[in-house]
Amino acid sequence: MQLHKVEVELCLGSACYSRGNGETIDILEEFVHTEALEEFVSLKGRLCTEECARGPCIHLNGTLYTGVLPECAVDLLRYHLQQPETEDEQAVTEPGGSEKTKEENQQP
Amino acid sequence: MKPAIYTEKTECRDCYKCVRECPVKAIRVKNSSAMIDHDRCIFCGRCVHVCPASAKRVRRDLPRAQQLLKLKKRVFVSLAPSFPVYFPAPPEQLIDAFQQLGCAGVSETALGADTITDLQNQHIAETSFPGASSAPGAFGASSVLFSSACPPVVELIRKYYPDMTGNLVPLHSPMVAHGLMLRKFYGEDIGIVFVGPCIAKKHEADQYPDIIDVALSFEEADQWLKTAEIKLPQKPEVVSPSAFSPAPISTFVPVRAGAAQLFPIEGGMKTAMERSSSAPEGVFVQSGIQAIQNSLEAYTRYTGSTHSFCELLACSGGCIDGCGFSSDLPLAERHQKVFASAGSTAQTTDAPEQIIWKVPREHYYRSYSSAPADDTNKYSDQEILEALRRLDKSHPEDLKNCGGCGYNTCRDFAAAWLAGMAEKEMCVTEMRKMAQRKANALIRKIPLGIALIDNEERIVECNARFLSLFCDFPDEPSEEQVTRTYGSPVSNFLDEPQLLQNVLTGRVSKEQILRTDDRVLEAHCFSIQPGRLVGITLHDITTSSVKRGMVVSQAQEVIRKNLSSVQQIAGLLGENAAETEILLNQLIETFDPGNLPNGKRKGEEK
Repeated sequence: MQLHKVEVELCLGSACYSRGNGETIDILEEFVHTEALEEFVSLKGRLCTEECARGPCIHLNGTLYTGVLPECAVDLLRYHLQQPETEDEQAVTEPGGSEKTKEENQQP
Repeated sequence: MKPAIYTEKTECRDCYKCVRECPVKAIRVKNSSAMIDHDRCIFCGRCVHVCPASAKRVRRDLPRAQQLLKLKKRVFVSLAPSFPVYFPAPPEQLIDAFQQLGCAGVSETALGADTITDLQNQHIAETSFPGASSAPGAFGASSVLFSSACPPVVELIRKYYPDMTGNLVPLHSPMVAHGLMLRKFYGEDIGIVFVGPCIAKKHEADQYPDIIDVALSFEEADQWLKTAEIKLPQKPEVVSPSAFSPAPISTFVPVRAGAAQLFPIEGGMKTAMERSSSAPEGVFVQSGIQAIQNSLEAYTRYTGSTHSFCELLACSGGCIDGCGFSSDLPLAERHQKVFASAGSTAQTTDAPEQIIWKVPREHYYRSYSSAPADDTNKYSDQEILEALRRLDKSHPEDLKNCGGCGYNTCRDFAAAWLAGMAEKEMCVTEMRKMAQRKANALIRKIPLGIALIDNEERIVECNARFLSLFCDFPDEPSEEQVTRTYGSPVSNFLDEPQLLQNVLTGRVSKEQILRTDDRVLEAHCFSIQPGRLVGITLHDITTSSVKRGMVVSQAQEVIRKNLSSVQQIAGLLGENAAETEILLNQLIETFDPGNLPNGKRKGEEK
């Protein structure tokens, strides 16, 4: 299957970190390593997204996902790997700089 | 990502129940914590059921399914044919409920099973049954074929009977086949959530992430509906056909499945196969992992030349008693429910050819790679004997084969220990012996009187020195004399009820000086089992304290004497110096020129 480059930015603010992103880093690193995806995936940390109440927050190719539990992170990355860097994501971004967000429920 | 079954390390309570129950001994005990060795695990789910501390867990995939609904435009549910066992509601309402969640539709996994049934019949006819030219078996002329629908069976053969992987039917499981069909029919970009009775399906789905996105257990699916506050009737409702406003009736998409709906029943695959015209005769059916292991074990030694097809299901009774859910229904009732559900549809699949064969035929085929698990039987007798010796089991009577460690025999345990799967501390009898030996040696050899006293103030155990503190023995009391005191009231020797009570009730008294007629004893009391057992050590300080006092006073005497001599010497020195000074001054005065006639002048100059 054709894979596409994905830039993953994990919020490492203390709220997101302790709510799951700490674990998510390890999971994603392991996934990228075992699947040999280093060429396609860049993993980065970032400062507080200021969405602490809806964390843990992860950006994939600039799209903000909130409430991403560690067990869901791999699926999310897999989805983006198969998703061409889409026109719509960039296009929909409003000029004011506010990002398009796909919200997650606060899952149990 | 976590494996489908994992260990919550902090919960493990060191009981070895999982080791005992695991059919393939895939549990590695390290630092007293029982972890699943996933290279050995066949994902049968046994450990999850037996763990008394709930430390063995099935990965929860519900959040992933919920996320999938948000990521994919259309998500289809692949519903396993055992669903009537868990969901009493009629299928229409179940389908409706999933659609309310946001799923695009519900399809029967049995559609995949129908396809597999046909392909399997063809495969058997072509390859291994009488008239076939090539026998794929690795043993003799027998060409046995094993069904591949049950993932723990596939894993069992890949890992423990690697020579027989060639005897697995080279077809995908119904779940994967169904996934292929759905994607061909509805588009590659759909999401697929499998809902079924099986833990191992999660593991299988992990291996086919591009075909099956998430595999949920019935219980997780139920929770999914509950969190969305979608209620399912707990009893099948009779839907009146003459209702005033007939709601659109939800049905399985794209079509209903056929006879393969019987797959979850032991023998269901056989029945489905036999409903087709090209069915082989004499299909053998077996369920339950232990029975299957016995069969496979026998096949490793079998050299005959029969042709068999075996329908193998890891859970005894079939998927209707699957490891991924629990049900109070008697097995026969579950059987009945699946039959009733399947009976209401066509006998064979009514899936139009164009649905099944949209997927190229070869896509339904797969191959297996063997993944031999590290063989714990590989050690020589010599190595095992050496291991047993190092485990302190050198004598035949030490080989109790009690199974306390989880392994059936001490030899198995030794082999597992050599393989790094087990720890020495798992042998409870050995540990108890060791603890007793240590305690005995300590009590006997320590230069203190020791007694263990129970809550009725009776001596449970004491040592010889304890006795000789209270009774006059010409020699050290004998072992027999010591044991004779066990059970007698401690007040015969020591009358300190308050001290013992304080320790028994948890008010810890650290140490106390006890006086008997001619001795001073320093007593330390400590609790061993709160409220039930206390220990007391007694130290006779009479003799040693006198000696110690003497040393101190003599040292002080030496210091005192030393000081007084110094003082004396200093006094004499001072005296001497003063006397010398006086004498010298007198001499000076006598010879001082000032005392001569010009002496005054000198004084005037000043």
